[in-house]
Amino acid sequence: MKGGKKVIIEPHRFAGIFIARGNDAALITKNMVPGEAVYGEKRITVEENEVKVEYRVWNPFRSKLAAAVLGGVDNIWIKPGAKVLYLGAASGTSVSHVADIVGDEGTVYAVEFSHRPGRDLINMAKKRTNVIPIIEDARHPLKYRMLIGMVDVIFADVAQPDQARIVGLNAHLFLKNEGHCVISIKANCIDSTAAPEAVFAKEVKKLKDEHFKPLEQITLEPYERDHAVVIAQYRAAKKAK
Amino acid sequence: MSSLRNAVQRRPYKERAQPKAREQLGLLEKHKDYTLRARDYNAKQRRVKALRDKAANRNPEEFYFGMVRARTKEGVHQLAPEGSKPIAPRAMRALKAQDAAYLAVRGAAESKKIARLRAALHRFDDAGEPDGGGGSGELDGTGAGASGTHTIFVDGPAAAAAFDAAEHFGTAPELAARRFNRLRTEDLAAKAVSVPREVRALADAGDVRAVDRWVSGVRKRQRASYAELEQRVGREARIRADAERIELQRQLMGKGAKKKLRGAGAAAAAAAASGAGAGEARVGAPSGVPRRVFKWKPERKR
Ligand SMILES: C[S@@+](CC[C@H](N)C(=O)[O-])C[C@H]1O[C@@H](n2cnc3c(N)ncnc32)[C@H](O)[C@@H]1O
Repeated sequence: MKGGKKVIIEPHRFAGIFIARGNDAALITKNMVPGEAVYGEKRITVEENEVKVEYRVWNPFRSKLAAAVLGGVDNIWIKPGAKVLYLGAASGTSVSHVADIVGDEGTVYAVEFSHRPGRDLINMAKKRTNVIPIIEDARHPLKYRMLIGMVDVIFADVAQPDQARIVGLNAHLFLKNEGHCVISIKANCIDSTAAPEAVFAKEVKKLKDEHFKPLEQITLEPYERDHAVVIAQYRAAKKAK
Repeated sequence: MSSLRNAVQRRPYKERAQPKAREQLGLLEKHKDYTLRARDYNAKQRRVKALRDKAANRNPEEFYFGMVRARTKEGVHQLAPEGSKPIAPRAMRALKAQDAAYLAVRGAAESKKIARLRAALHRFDDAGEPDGGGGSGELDGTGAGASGTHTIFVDGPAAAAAFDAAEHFGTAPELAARRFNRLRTEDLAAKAVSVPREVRALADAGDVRAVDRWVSGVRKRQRASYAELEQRVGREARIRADAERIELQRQLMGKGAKKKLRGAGAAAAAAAASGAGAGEARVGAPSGVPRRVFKWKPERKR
């Protein structure tokens, strides 16, 4: 890749994520499948200790998780070796970066109910063996319970009004106690008449009802408008007094 | 029989070349070259003859207005200036359509380039230092840094009062405000930055000045990228505005009874009305600031 010789790669707060500076200033992940882009994203090759390493640019204007990372969340809980349940995977653009982060030791279960993006998702998963694509409705987790073990993190971006319930259903089956969920909320999708802040507060309330303890919330400007990401812990241990 | 004839070795055909002594004359002319030359010569002769005949048979009474209108300037005959003929409205409309189409293509190309630049320019807080990247853009990606509100949920007001960002994020106090990458304190020491080999060599050699120069070069290139993005965003806006203006002119040249509405309030009302299907309001100004607004009479179409 041209320009690769003139790039500095900086480590990021979160393991598995890096920052590239050169002609670009970009959030990147290490490409699990060097030589191939998933959705036409830019790749950056550098030499580290005499070996070539390829990174892929992770565009926060397209991925809410990337936007939350740049927004400065405390923890995304998705890290090398983690098992992640990804609800609303679409064509797998963000999923591919999550797969890059968790690496060979981790697993991403990517649930998407729509067939058309599901096809792209499956094609992406052919190359990334740590991604398990599941073409099912996330509202019926029993249908795919045989495919999934317990997970550390649930990431949800289904853009549905009943997202909190969907997350709850999946958490009860698959999320281990004290595991985490990272939820992207599009205010418009839940209630297009209410103020976004009110919608976010309501969703946080719903999460609490599903045994989640909210940890943090971040709105995604300037990358998205009226979007928030909420991070919460499942069945958090009662604090020792 | 013929196959028998083929069996016998025959003398290979050799084309005659220009003799060495006449080499300065170029390639030797062959008959096919001669025919071409002769045909061309004869055609020219015929044309000269035709002109000669025309001149000989000229009517001395002949008159065209062009003969009296024609001018010379310093002895040079002047052609009629372009655009002296008014362009017919229909032709003008067609030209405007071409202009609009051209602008649409340029605008689309610009948008594509913007998307490509933006995909790899992620607007960290310190992007495009030292002026913070410039631009005020909120969602257009030209502004600097994440600007969303970050809420941390803590247990009770006491914890909220005692909240300390640096402590919460486990980072150095000066990094607490650096949203895009608050490195943890324990990672700060083991800062394994991957840099190009030749720069690492400079660092190992202790040439701090050279390393600094290299780093500032990277910053400079980054700034240039941001500047390009900003420039393209501006250019795209101008192209879109021009396209809209030309489209309005074209519509005004077209058929249909129309009347001018005034004021931004009227513009909004007209837009609403067109949404309801009452008539058509075509807004003729860029970036949502309606300046001139026209309303067309609804027309029944068969
Ligand atoms: C906003 S898109 C996700 C984009 C993706 N996370 C990304 O960042 O690239 C939401 C996706 O969720 C899917 N979806 C909606 N409801 C769903 C459900 N009940 N079960 C599974 N997928 C669902 C939609 O088909 C859509 O592709």
